[in-house]
Amino acid sequence: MLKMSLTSVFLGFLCFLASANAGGETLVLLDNLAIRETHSMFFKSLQERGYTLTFKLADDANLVLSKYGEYLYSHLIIFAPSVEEFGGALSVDAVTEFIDGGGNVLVAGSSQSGDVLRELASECGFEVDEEGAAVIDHMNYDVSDLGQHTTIVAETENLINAPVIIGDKNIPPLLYQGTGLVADTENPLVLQLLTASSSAYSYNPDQPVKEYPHAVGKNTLLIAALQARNNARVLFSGSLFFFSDEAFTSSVQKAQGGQKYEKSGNEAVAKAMSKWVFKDSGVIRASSVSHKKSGEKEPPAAYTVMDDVVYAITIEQLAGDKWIPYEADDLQLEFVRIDPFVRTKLQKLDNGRYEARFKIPDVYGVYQFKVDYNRIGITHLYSTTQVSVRPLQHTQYERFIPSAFPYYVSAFSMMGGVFLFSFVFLHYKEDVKSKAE
Amino acid sequence: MRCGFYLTLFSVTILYLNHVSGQYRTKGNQGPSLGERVQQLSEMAMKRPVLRFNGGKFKEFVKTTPRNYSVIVMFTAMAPQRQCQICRHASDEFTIVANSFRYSQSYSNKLFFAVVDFDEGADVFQMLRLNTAPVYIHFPPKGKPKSTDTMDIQRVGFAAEAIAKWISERTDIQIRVFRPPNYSGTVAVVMLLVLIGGFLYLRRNNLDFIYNKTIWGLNALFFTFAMVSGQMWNHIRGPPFIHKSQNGAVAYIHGSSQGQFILETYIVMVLNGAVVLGMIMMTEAAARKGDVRKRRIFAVIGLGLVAVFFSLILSIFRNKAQGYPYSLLFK
Amino acid sequence: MLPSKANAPHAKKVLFPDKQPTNSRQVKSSTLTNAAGLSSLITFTVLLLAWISGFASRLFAVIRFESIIHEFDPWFNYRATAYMVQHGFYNFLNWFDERAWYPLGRIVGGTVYPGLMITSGSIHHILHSLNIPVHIRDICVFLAPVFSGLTAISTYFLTKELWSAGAGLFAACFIAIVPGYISRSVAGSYDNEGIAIFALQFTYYLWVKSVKTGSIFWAVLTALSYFYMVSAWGGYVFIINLIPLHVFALLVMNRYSNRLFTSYTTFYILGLLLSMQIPFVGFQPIRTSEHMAAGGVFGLLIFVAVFRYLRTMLTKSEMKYFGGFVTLTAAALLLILVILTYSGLVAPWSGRFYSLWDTGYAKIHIPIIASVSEHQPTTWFSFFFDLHILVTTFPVGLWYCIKHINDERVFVVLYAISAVYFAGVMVRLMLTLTPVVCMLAGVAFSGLLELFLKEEDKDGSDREGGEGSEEESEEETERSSRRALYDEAGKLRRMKHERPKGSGDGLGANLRNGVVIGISMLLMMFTVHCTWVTSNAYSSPSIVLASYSNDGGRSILDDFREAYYWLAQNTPNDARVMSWWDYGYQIAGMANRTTLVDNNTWNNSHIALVGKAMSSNESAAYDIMTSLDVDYVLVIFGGMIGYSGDDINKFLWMVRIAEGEHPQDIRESDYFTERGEFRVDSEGSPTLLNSLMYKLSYYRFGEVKIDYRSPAGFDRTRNAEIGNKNFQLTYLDEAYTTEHWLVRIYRVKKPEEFNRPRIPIAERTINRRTSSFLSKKTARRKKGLIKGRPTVVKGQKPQKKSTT
Repeated sequence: MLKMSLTSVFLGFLCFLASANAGGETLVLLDNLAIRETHSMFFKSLQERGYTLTFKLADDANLVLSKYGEYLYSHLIIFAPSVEEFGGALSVDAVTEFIDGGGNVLVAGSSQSGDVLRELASECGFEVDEEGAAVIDHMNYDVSDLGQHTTIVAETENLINAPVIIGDKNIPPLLYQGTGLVADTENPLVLQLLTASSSAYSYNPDQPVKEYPHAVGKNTLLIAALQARNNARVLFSGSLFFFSDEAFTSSVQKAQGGQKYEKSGNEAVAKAMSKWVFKDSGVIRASSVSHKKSGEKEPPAAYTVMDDVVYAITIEQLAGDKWIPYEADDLQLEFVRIDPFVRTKLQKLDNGRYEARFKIPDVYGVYQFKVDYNRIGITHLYSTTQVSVRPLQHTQYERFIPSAFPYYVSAFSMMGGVFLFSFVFLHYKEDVKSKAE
Repeated sequence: MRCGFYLTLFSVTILYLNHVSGQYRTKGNQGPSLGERVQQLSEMAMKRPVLRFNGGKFKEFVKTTPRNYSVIVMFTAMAPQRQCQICRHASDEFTIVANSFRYSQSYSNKLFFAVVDFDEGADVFQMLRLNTAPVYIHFPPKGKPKSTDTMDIQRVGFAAEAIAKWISERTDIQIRVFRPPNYSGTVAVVMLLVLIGGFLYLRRNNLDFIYNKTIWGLNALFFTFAMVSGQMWNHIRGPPFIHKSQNGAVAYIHGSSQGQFILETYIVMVLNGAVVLGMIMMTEAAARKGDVRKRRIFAVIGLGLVAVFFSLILSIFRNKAQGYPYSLLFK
Repeated sequence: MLPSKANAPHAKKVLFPDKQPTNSRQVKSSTLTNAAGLSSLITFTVLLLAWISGFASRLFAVIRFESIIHEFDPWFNYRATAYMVQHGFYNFLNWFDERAWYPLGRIVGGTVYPGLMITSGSIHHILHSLNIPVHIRDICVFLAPVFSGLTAISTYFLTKELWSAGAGLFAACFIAIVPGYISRSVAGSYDNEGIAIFALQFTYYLWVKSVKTGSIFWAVLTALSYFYMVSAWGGYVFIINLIPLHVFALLVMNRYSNRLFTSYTTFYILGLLLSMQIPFVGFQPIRTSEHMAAGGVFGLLIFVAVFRYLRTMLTKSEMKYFGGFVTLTAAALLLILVILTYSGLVAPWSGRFYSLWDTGYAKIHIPIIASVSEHQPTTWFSFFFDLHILVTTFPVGLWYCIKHINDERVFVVLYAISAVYFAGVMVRLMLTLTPVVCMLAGVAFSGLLELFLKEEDKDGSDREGGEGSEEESEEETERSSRRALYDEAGKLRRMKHERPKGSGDGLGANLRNGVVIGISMLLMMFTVHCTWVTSNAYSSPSIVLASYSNDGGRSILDDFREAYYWLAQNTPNDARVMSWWDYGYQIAGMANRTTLVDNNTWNNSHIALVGKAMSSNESAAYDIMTSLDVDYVLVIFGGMIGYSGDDINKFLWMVRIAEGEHPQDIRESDYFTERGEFRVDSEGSPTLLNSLMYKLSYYRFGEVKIDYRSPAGFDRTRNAEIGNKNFQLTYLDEAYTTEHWLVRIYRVKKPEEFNRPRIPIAERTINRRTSSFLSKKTARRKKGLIKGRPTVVKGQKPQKKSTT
């Protein structure tokens, strides 16, 4: 009971955060105010979606994220690649606290990105390549490239296969210019949104290649993201240019005879990513969890073994600032006591309700209904409900079992026998006496 | 036909192995391939669960690679002139394990038991730098034996169960130790019964001694004394008879209240008996009829016995229990 | 015994010389004017005094500390009783406790002996129906002392049946204060044994009574009392084996009688049916080997009866056939039993009983039994400690019981011998030995003092022994007369009746007084010993510890309750606390939190899981703890104050029990040093120094300096400086540590707390040349720094050079 209410409250709290996030206070840190102009399209798209942007210089002397323990902003955009040290109360620790507190962060670096961003990146599980290093691709670079082959054309099939994050995939290729990222591969929380093509590598274009580059080919990340365990989202792009108006508008054409696209796909992808990272998309919650014995209204204080139980959960998805039913057919329920005793598929009912019916195993103990739904780009849904399953009560066993009938027979025959015997006994004595006389 | 041929071949190899001396074998030890060696080993294991290795066969079967079987080798010195008593027990236990593996369902040719006697394979002892016996070493299929592959006899002892446990730790082969049942106890009981029965049979014409309460009483008293004086503790814990400290001082009484020595329990038994005797004497002295002087003397002696010996027990008890305040005659 | 015939005639003179039985009855019911009334008054007074003194001497703990439940099991009993009082009996019977053995749960109603709870619950009910508002806790606390008085009374009756009323009074006085029984029945030790001993003695009394009278009435009462015993304590098996043994012995001694037949058959059938009514016992009485002896004797007895009957009417030759037929049937029955045992229908002896016979069994096979200190064998010291003079004198009583044997004395002899054996094997079974020792010692002393006080009744009558003897004489007369009707035990009496001529001319007053004084000296020593032992050894409620300083000042260490109340106040209601099983009942009882394992060790594998978590390293333990949904971990640590019963000293048992279930993961050998020592200092084995239990015990202990002589982190219990000092905990953090560090509670972190997968500097592939960036920010100047901005360039040149 109580556990369930707790969990639901917890989830509800998360979703409350999320809903509040839909168009929330956003702090934007910039190298210089010029960026505000050069990236105006991106910022405008955000503002149209209802975010109130606050532009600050990254070294502003009175930067604060939280006041009196309350966070002033729910999102943070760092478009200051070359910042060495944040101003004011802001620091890497402050940002990580912000993330642990549920805030979402969008960071864009460049080939000149400073130490703070490196710290921040490695706090989030990926690393920025060395200072001055840029992603170089001699096969597919853009025609507009200046000869260093650093303005590369990222193919859209290198995007991660999650439409909730990056939206539609069949769009013109993307323009990218900046440094490369590296992520440890066995980390499940890091999403490799955009990887470079197999012919790319990340190195300093001004220097001859002396040692082996840190990032080569497909494990050169261009854009990486992290969805932390508290569902806070961090998106880290190696290039600030990616979000710039120039990149949005300019045409794309591979130097080695690719066909020419009038307009790059950056804008679409950037918008989709910003929707995702600011929790406009891919946010689900379990709005209500209920379980009861089949054919009853209220859940019992404790189930009995071999009961037929009905478990229902309603899952909703955040769209804009309102919740709509979430449709999926891969939800499953586990009935766990240390190990799952039952694992069954949740059948979809009307508007986002899912239901499972099963028979409790003939093992008493304290069980948990557990729904653990973890998909790429979607907030982690984890709902446990603890119930206790008790054995039969002393009145619930069946009474007249056939194997006991010999006992009944013997008992009653004994009674009758004793009765008859005493009867005969008494009267027999009578006769004796009478004979004697 | 074919298997017959095999059999002859194996018997030949067995003879060969048994009679050819060590260095000869070392020369030819790259000869037999893995399959052959496994065949030979399992053939020998069929004949006797514990294989006797000398230096040569040790090198051939244990040292040569590749192996797909692990060998448990007991290094011992059974020769009488070595007078190693525990080697005897150790090898008995070892044989028990080997037998119970040999006749268990989990029997396979992945595990073999071997013994190397110092007098037959001294070179092996030098090779492994062993200077003690007995030692159990497990030679894993691949790689050299590590430190944990040598069984720690000091700690776990070499009971068959311990060996089996250790083996199952090293090689995941569970061996359920099946001891050949120890009939000595039953035999003793049977003997006793036979004796009693024979005795009864001889005395069958006058069996009234069975109704002799004194005998029964004495038996009961003796049993009671034995139990009360903690013989069962001795039986389970096996304490020393007496304790000799380094400086030669001999302690008859265990210092703490947690322990006791065997002699100590005997002393206590005697003291209890004396007290009981004293009380019985007093009672009888008063209950019997007969001349008064003797009974007086009995009564006095009885009282003396009770007082003296009870206060003796009390003083021993007081020494063992720190801070026990009370005492009779003696401190 | 002499006074009996000394004033037997006198008594007879008082009454009408003919038809004694009725008169002896009248004697009992008459007023104080005659000796019998006086004697019954004396008996009453003595028993009352025994009860009061026994009750009073069990109150040390309550007076020193407070009215509190003692160590471990009593806490569960108390919790169960409170539950029953609150929810009623049937809910208690069906109580499924989901707070114990998480997540397995425990069916309490089916796994306890409910006698204790029912007893105190009904007392509570009665008192409340009388509008006497007593809290259930006080009833639980004072239940055992009250029952000790009942035990004394039932012992009096039993001994009176066996020997004489004087001996009975002695026995009652002994058992009222003997430490061997006080150890389990002090106020606050609310455990089964407290009432079970009373049930035991009372059952035996009724049994002896029924054997003597041969009336179905007494046999039925025996069965009922046996039923109470079954519902109270697992030790009922002692009864159901001892009584058949008695019957068997009587058969062997050719003392068969119809009285025996009636009483045993009635008792067996009724007792069997009744005992199977207890859910926890269930079908054991017909399925386990412990109960088979009773059935066998039952069959044997019936066979003997039939045999004797047939012998009266069959001829020799027919008898022969009959004998052959009987042997065949017996063999067939035995065969069937064996087959059933092998087919598993009849369970073989359970492990705890094996450990009674094959004394080395537990040590090898059942570490969880061997780990309990109560299951160790008994030294002569503890015999003497618990029984003092009785242990040296009860053989005398045994001797005389054998010398003057009769049906019921056969019983007491068997009782004594078997009990003394069991007490030798297990310390805790000293409890079953104590009553019979008291009875036999009473026999010995009363026999002695009767003889030595027989002329000087008046001088002796200041001691209850004298009164006992005198009063006993009355009883003797009436019983000897009454008994002469049925049992051949009159032999002894007759012997006594022959004795008078000789014993009259006495040993002289001086010697007599000397002996009397000596004996009374011994008895006084016994009383002071009992008082001393009770106050020093058996009166500490191991919940609250008392430590005495040099100047005799007493300081109370109340850390346990401090910790449990902290849990109760500061943790969520459904928090799951992992601790070693010793503390499960206390956590459930005082903190009312969910525990993983507790003191009824019914599931070895679950305990082994906890032991594995405790003895493996932190990360491995974290997996186990998350799989068990552990929220808090509680460890007992005595190193700060030198409390020796802490978890580190129990640690090897955890390892052994864990190894029994998970031999692949846990090896006991890893926890010893090369030389096979178990030490916590820097020589200790690394596995030990990194085990969870070690870390939880010694976390932040390395910073503590207890006194100036010893180094920091000096463990007083093990007298060693700990080997693994300043370490950090990754998966747990310290939640609470009590005043004297006796109890330490840790919170297990949740997965959400490891939010981001940060990459520590060591594991980064890209090594940054300027890892040391020194901040330019000051308290005044909060301005940050951005590369390549004109304002900062000049200040930043060297810095920039260094970075590029």
